[in-house]
Amino acid sequence: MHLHVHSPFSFLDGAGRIECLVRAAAACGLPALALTDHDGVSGAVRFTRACHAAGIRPLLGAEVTEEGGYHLVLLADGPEGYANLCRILTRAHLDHPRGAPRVTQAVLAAHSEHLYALSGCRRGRLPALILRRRYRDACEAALAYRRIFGARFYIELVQDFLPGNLALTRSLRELAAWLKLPVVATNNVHYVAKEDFPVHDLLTCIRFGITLEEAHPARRLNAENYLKPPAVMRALFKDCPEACENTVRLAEACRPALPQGMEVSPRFPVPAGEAPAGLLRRLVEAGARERYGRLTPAIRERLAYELEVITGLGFADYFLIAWDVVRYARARGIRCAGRGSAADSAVAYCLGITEVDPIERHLLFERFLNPARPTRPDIDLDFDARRRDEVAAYMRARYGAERVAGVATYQTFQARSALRDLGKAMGLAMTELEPLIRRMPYVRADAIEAALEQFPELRAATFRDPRYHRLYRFCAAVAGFPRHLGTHLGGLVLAGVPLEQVTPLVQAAKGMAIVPFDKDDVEDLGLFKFDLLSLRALSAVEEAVRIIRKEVPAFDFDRLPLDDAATYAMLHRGKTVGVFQLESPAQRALQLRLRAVGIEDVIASVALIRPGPIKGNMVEPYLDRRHGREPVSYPHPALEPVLKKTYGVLLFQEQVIALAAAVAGFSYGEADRLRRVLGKSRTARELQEIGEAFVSRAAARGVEENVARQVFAWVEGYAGYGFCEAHAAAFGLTAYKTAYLACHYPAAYFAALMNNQPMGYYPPQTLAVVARSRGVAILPPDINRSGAAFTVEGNAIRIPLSRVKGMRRHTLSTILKAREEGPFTSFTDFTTRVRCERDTLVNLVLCGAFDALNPNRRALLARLQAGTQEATLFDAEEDTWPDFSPGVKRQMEYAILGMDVSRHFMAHLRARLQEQGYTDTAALEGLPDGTPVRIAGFPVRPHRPPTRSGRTVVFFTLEDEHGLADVTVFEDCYHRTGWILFACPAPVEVDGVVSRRAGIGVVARAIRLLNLD
Amino acid sequence: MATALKVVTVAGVPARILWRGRWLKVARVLDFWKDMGRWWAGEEEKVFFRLELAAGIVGELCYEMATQRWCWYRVYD
Repeated sequence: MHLHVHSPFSFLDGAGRIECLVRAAAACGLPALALTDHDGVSGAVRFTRACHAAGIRPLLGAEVTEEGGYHLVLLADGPEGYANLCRILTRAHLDHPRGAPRVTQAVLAAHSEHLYALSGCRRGRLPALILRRRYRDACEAALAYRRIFGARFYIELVQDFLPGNLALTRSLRELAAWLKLPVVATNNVHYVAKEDFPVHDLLTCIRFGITLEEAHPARRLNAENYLKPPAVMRALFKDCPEACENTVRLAEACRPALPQGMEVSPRFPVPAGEAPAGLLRRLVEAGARERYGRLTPAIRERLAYELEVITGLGFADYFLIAWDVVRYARARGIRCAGRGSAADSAVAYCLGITEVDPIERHLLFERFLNPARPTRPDIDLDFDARRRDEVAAYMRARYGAERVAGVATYQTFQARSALRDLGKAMGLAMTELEPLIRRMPYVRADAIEAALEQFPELRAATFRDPRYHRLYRFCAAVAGFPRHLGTHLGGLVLAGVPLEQVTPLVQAAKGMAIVPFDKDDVEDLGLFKFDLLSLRALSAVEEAVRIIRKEVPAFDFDRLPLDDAATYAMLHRGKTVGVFQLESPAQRALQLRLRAVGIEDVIASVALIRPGPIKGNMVEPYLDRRHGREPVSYPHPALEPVLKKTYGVLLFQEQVIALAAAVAGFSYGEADRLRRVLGKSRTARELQEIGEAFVSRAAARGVEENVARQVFAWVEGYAGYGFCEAHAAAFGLTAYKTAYLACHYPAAYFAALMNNQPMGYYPPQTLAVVARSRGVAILPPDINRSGAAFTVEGNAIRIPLSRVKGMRRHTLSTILKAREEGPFTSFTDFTTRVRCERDTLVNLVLCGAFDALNPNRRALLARLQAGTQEATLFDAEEDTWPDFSPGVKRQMEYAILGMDVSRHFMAHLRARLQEQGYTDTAALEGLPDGTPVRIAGFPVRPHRPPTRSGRTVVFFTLEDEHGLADVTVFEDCYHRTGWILFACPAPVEVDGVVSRRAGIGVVARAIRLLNLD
Repeated sequence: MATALKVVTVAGVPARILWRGRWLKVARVLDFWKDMGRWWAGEEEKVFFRLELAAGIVGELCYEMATQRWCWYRVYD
């Protein structure tokens, strides 16, 4: 039995996938397998699942690192052993510097019950001391372990064919015999098969930042640490058969360890004498009166139903906790909004968790919480990104730091990271690899060779050099391997018991404790998770509101009219860059065609431009029916109330549920289960069986068979494609309101957007172009007027000093602090009052920050370079040095600020381009469909979204001094010339034709780098 | 690599070595290990035996798995 096994969750020290290890163990007849990753149990849930699927027993443990760096293998007997292992690992991680967990003997002694300990590999204390001939110390160490673990301590023997192993094994056996300690045979497994050794060796090189040619003591000498079959192990230990027999005995003694069915639900601290269900009911009633005023029977009935389901499933505390978090945030002015399927819940609406009225919208509660298939509720809350951590801190303070922790995420090897790390380890020249890495799309590490065939920008002959074939194979071997543990941006677990009973806690980068499981494994552990997400859009909204209220104190973002004509007019023109959820080229094109007139249209558009509805062919029928080009009809009257709001098109997941209920009489719970089942891939036979059941139930309700079959075809076809309406509604509201801000307060809104980067679809440079097109001037940085952030001056946006390349935070503080004592009166005054790094000072000069004091940048630069910064006659006299040309100034501004200030780059070329027949983006609007054009500009965000046909289509935005043009590149053009979009970040020229089919854009026929000669 | 040797093994362990025209008996196997070498450069796996010969010589014998060739890796002076 293999009791010492490492998976990829030993982070760069395990080269055998969990599923492959388990399969191999099952294939050679092992009834059980252990998992003992370094200082963690992150693989425990997947490992347990894989073992159950393979029909073998999972043994959970870890190889912990003791003080002195010694290894010790621990195996858990039952949930009590697992809990003790979690406690040991928690102390190891939280009591020591991040990344260097250490277990003390005191901690081992305090939590040793129900744990088996093996003396470890060569890095174990006993073998390490023996190898240094410190036999007495080794004996004392063994006695110490026996005192801690009693009969549960074993001497571990490993036949790994390393130099000195013969003598080491002999000494360990003598020690065991002397102290009457049992022995076990292990193979310190780090991969599945012998041929996996090279991958493990490469991972070791990555771990230590060395190449294959460099020796390192951590690199294994041979390929013996694989999952050897039992017969091979018995042969290796033929003169010590008890070592193998004891592995079987030990494995049989270990009961299942992962806690199943343990009560860990979080508890909300209710007032004395009140139960959670009662408090919840009271709060919902109060909230309902506030939301609805008069409570109709329909409202009462819906709320009563939801409360019955929520309290019946034991989730009252969960809702109270969510209500409390939102209440706390709002009380502190932290903007927040619920998203996702929680908006299907009227209880959530009445508690103020969400802003969507599901009763008015006829949203189905079962989409959120299905009594027929109960799963934990999942309430996602968006917060102002700048203040989300305050809310997390509140949770920790309220419920106890030992019961609240973040959630991990595994940073895994993808194509780019695998190429980089493995390429370096293999000693390949990075100068050769970098172009490949930069052009590689974001695909899995095992999709590289397919990508080389598929994407024309990867066609360069060098990428097909035989030297790289081995690299690509190694990349495929590590595809998806966790590289290190990261922190999930929003996930927070909350338990009713100290978390270390269920999971270890480790330190995250921000010093917060996290559970070392990802969001999926967390649920399998029985833990409740909240998603407290940072949404920069909310930060931008909050900031815009703050700026607006300086002029309009009564401005209330939460009470904006939802029928503002000017806002909808802006949406009609597709001018939605900067608008939440509506700014991508596809969305802008949709807005032009949709011509939204109400909030329902905005909500639908949030749902329409998603991979599902696009692949499901919902967009065109929706638009045609919306505009009356296609009649809306319903094969059965029961369908009309369900599909009316989307003109007969099946768009939302809630509609799928409602259809199944209306036609075949499913309960909503059954219907949601049907939706989920159909959303997964099924065999033709399974689909037929499900279809027949649907049709027969419909027939029992008097629905004609052909109608029932048609409806089932819809349900089956769209089950996997539909979008959650509640989520669309929640996001649609915010989308509309940000459109309102962009329309009526563009300076405030765009300044806020630029201050909360990275966010949205476009970079600040493009946002500035769009702001200018709306009449908002972009003012250059000014040493006396610019601050740390973009600010609004009238109807203009001032570029901040923080934007200057090389500006350090302390330097910026110094400048702003000095300015408090009075504005700078000259360049010399500034250099006298402020100690500024030279490179920063040069950049301030060259980007024009001193222009208001002295517009001659060359003169200032010369003064700097001459070292004559003191007050001289220069202050009094005009500088006679000829300044830089406007073109040079523009180039320097762009290089230093990352955005155009005085003039867009393309404006400098416009005269020449016009002579050569180029069209600018403003002139496109007046050209008829099909007009051949040549346009030039900067390509922004080229991307290849999934298409209905499966063929590659590239979309990008071309930016010039007038604005943006959306360009479509079909597959043939992409393969011929369009690939340069992904290879070279430079201005391009596009030959194509005007297309007015989906807004105003250009369909490209050829793309070239702009030839500035 | 040095000249190939003739080695007689018992259960995979060297028992006699023909070296410089004489058969030398292996008195003791002091240690043995395996080494993958510079696998990335095409080197094959080797097995090493540190032996004490009856004649009092101590040396390290190397067996190349791919070529099934034995040779001295090191002889201790």
